[in-house]
Amino acid sequence: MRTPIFAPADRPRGMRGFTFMELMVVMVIIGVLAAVATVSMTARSRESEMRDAVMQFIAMTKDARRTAISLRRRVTFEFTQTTFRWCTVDCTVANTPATPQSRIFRMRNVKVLQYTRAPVIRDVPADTMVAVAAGVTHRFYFEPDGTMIGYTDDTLPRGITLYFQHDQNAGLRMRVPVLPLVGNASIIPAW
Amino acid sequence: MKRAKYAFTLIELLIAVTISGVVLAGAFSLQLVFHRAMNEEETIADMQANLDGIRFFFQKAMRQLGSGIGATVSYYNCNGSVETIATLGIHNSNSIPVVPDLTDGGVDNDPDWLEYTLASNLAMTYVDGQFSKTWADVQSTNGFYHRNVLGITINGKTCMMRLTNVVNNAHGGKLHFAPAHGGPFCMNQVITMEQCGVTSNSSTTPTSPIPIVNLGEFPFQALRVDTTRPASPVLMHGVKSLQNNSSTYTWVPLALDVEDLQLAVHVDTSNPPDERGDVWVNSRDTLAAEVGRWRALRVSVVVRTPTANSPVMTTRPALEDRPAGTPDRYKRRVLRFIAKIPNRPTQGGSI
Repeated sequence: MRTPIFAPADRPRGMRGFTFMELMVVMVIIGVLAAVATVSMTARSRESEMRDAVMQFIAMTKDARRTAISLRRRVTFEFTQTTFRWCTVDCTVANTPATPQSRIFRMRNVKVLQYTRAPVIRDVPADTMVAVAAGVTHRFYFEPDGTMIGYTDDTLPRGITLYFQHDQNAGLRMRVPVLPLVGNASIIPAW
Repeated sequence: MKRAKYAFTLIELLIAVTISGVVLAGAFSLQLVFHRAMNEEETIADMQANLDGIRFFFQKAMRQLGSGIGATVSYYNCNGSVETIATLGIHNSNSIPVVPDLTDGGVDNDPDWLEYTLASNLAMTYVDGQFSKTWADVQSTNGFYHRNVLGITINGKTCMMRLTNVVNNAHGGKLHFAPAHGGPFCMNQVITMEQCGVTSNSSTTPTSPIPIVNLGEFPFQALRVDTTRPASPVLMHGVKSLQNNSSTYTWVPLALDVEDLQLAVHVDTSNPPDERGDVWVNSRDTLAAEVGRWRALRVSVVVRTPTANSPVMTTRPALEDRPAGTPDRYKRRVLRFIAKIPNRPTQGGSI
């Protein structure tokens, strides 16, 4: 017997099942909804990965600064394309209560693409832009008075601005200038 | 039993859908409200953190201002002549000196420039180009050498100087700095190498030659609000070298979203002068003849949210004699400090 595509009209109403076409229509609708939801969830999760990385960076700079002030020692802040950490004195000194170090934070799907050694609070960078290559460590320092310097022989405080970008969405970018005197960082959601 | 065979009617379905729609819309709008409130709280928390940073910075500066520094300091430079520097200055916003007005709340000249020296209990001492100490002396007195600054503690004073031309073997092994770069600044307190962030005084023996760095970046500092972009005003902190005693400040941002810096001084107008101020003056430039009668400094800072998204219409708070602005949607906080200026002239001494 040939299977009907549409429900046969001759069967009583309560006896009819769903036809193939009805099922298909429902499944397509569900599929479209799921696709829309997935796309928006992906965007949301990328944004949160970005935010997580940036917030961690800011929290760690604050920790580093607090440590420098309370221990009255210079604290080195190290970053690579994908990681951050800070160490008292420098990172070759062992982690002891007198010379604490932070754990290494690894960013997920987010990179530091470039940086400049000035707080870029307006659009135009005031200093040379440095591209961050994979595996290369860059440093800045917090002094015991709570100020920041860029190089160990700096005589004046110097801020820094990191430029973050998401791996899967190049349009998702954040600029984070760290102010040299009070160590405050702000998030600027564009370059 | 027949009824069990019926499905929902269209009307029933529509009613159900409508009800659930209304409930969902309510929940969604509630969520929006919460989200907005959360964002706002976050903005306010950020502003508060910003304010805390400024407070920290000011407390440090004001504490040192108030610990006995005079309004002017005389010192010998390394050429042997006496120089006088004003250690505290107030300028109005456009740097135009205005007619002194001792009455409170005079004309608004919006004084928003503060120029000051930070080193507490500064005592300037003349030492000629050849400093009569050796590196061994420095090491034996918990001295240090850090970022081109040499610190040596003698008789309870720590003297700091920028070394410029260290010649280890010349001058009988004495440390040496070029006369043109000023003598050491001696503080009436001991500053340890730890306080300067130096961990060892032996591993950083100065080598010869050390690049010339201007002496005295630390005495001259300034604060002003940069409103080049009114949408994002910045509180700037400047450092000026004694060397080029001009208007060449190096400015770095101290805090973002600072709308205004207002200053006032408590002037002692009594005759003969006593230790108390009688009148707050906020509408003029520094007057050299009068700085000896300053008793206290009042600093007010207005911080605002980065964006004007507050649902509350607020005006700029009226500070000092500045006129209040038109209402807008920024949220603001005001920080106010009063620091005593004991106004005792500092003395030179020998080391």
